[in-house]
Amino acid sequence: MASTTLQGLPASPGIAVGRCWTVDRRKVRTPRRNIAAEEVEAELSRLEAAIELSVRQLDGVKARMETADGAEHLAILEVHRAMLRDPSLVDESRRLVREERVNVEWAVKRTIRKIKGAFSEDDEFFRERRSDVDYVGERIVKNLLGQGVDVVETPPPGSIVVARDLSPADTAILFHDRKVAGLVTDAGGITSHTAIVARALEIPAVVGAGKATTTAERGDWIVVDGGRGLVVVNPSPGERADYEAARIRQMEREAELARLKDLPAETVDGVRLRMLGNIEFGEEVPGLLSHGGEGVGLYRTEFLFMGRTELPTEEDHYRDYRNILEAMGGRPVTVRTFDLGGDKLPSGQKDHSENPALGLRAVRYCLRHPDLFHAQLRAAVRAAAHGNLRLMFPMVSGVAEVRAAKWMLTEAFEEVVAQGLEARMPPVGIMVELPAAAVVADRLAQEVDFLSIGTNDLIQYTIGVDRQNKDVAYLYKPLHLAVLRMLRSIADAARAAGKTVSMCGEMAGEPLYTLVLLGLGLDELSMNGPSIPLVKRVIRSASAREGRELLDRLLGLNTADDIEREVRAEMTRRFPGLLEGDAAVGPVSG
Amino acid sequence: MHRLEKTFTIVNSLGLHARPAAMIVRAANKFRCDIQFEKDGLQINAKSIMGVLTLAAGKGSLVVVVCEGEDAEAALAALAKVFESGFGER
Repeated sequence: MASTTLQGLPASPGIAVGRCWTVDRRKVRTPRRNIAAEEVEAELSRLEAAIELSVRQLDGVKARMETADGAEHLAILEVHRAMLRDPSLVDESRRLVREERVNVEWAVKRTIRKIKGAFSEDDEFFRERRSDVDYVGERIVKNLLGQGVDVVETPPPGSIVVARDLSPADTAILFHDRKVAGLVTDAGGITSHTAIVARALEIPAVVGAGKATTTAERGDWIVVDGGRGLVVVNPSPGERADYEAARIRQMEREAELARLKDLPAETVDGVRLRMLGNIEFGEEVPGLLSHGGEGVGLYRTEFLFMGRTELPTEEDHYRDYRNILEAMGGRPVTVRTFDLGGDKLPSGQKDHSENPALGLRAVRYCLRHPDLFHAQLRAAVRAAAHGNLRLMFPMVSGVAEVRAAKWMLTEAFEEVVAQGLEARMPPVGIMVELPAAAVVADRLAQEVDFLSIGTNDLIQYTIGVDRQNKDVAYLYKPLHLAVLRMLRSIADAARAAGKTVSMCGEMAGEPLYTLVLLGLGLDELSMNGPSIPLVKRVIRSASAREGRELLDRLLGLNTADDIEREVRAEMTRRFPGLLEGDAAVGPVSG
Repeated sequence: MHRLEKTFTIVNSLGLHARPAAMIVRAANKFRCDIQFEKDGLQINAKSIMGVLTLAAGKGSLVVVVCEGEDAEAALAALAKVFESGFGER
């Protein structure tokens, strides 16, 4: 039998090989009929009974599951339970039965449709809620019709569950003992409840695979490649062996990366780098530490503004910074002052200028709104008394701006101290993300304690290309000769001044560039936590010398494509499997 | 008739998502008084999870809680606890 490959969405990474276990979950057909006046009461009591039964079923599922861990994932069942008794569902269904004289199944179906209408389809959060409402309605209707509602059979250990779609209750039942090897669904997206649970339980999963249920039968061999979103039904013995081998390699690789967590990011010739994390919320700290993060290289404070109507107060900032400092336990936390303006403004405000990217943004915005900036600086110096806080100004274009920002910092510090509050003057740095700053980096380095290169904006402004613009996005090249020269001159300037130099753009977390960055002689790399282990692995098996040699070679080339080809060839030669291996375990940067 | 009103800020990072909504509705249904939430001109019944979910209140958003009825005071106190705990999240 020939094998069939289906392309779906990568819902949960990892490779699984096992026998298919199809789960039949037919959509219910809702009958419609008109009822006589004397039937109304009977219909209403049928509704009452069906809701009662539905509540008991969900309680039963929860009770069965709560013995297993992962009870966290049962929260959604609580939501469904609340929906069953929701007045908007019950009252409207009853009204339809009474006033329109329709059977209760039809009344429930119509009510569910109406409730779903309140949840926009465009929003991910609401899409999930729409499917929750559907599951609840389906449960009631199936109970009214006397049809089975939940999965009853437990698959044999090591099975690959294949279903059209799974309700949260089904997912809980199927996964609670964690013996399922993999999961494939025809429908669903990567943010569906099923996908989230699969990721949390680390079960390889592909969703939206289209016609898995009609392609595979119970007992067929199936391969699930959750990282790529691939499903192979009836693989040949050769394919099966290949995937089995890939699965083992991947498990070994993960174990190896986990072992790296507490080892230093040190090259074979003894150059030690600090691996830092980029964060937006304090909640990301545990994840960062678990990946071996040695500090926060970029804390994007503007997220305190998002989704709120009032400006955050000094106390809001202070509490927030202090929590993060304490959670990081003495490790450095680099607080970047507001990077507001352009596309990021407190809600309700909008920048209507012709060219927001070149407009009133970041430190410019802060200097224009001293009250807002002052509150943040006061909070920062106060929080600095409780940990290793470093302060960083974004979008600096020259020395005058740094001096102005530092003057405001000193003023805030003196004011806080005069009030008898605990405070400390933090080390100060700037983001080098404008070509102007890169060119005068030697002078800027005299004004501050550290420089941090923001590659995303630096590349954009240097090449003069908007990455979101499809027509010119192809020009966005991190390895453009102009970018490389600029990176080198920033790093050299910092070193000459004896100042720390970091990188906190996407380039820092992409292992393809790690050797080049070693060549630059950076002190710190800051990236998303999950990218740390792989970058660290490259650092630990490379030397700074070979990095410098590679960089010298690259600077002799002319086009970005030639440079990239050279880097790829070198990385493929030095770290075979590193670059193509990434796809199997999901993206390495984000 | 007792009418009490108080504004709460959503403090947990995920906002008023499904699980917190279930917590709120469970708390609200313990009281007899009428409980309404208001956010950005949208007004909903806090005893209805569908309603609470339609608020889609993210971190930092403000929700006005209005309790009206005999046990309004106790209801507001109970809801304050739920809001201020950040729904047991961070």
